[in-house]
Amino acid sequence: MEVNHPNELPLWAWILIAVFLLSQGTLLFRHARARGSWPWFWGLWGLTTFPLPTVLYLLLVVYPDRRRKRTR
Amino acid sequence: MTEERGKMKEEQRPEESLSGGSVQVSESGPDSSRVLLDLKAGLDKLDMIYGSEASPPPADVLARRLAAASGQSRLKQKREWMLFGTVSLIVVSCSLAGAMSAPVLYWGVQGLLLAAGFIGSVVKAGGWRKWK
Repeated sequence: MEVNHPNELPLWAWILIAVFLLSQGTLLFRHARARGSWPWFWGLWGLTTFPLPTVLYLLLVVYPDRRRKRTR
Repeated sequence: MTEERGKMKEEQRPEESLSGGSVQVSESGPDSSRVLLDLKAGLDKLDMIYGSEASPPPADVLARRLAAASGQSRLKQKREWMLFGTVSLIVVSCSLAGAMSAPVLYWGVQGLLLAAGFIGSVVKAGGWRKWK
């Protein structure tokens, strides 16, 4: 099956993408709120694309936090 | 009341306890006992004036306050989640519609968001000082 335009994607693919985005945004919002690090920004951005917000959240929030804890 | 205490002072020995043994006069002599009695009278007076303000609230009042604060916090959290759920449905439908109808605009917004996030995190981390 060759897809030349997003309009040609089947319905199940759109549903899958929506589920991925909703899960990612919700998880990022929840995690960032527990850490107090811009939950609305990460949550909303996590709703728009996949997987860049998760990767950058891990790189910019989770990893520095862990490194800081390890150095203490 | 002060007269009564004055009488007590004359009758009591310095070693006697005041108010059920809580304060004891260790030094002998009339001066130290008088100082202690004056001190206790002053403390009683302070208790009468500021007693209601200084004393901690009873346990049941505290428990009620804690329960109210906890309920408020839970309600606030629930409202925030509901708001996020509503906003997330709108954002997901808008972003999917954008990706479907105008992919160039969609990826442009993604790039802008990425740049904003990167600049924000660099500023937050104070990394701009290193770049100067």
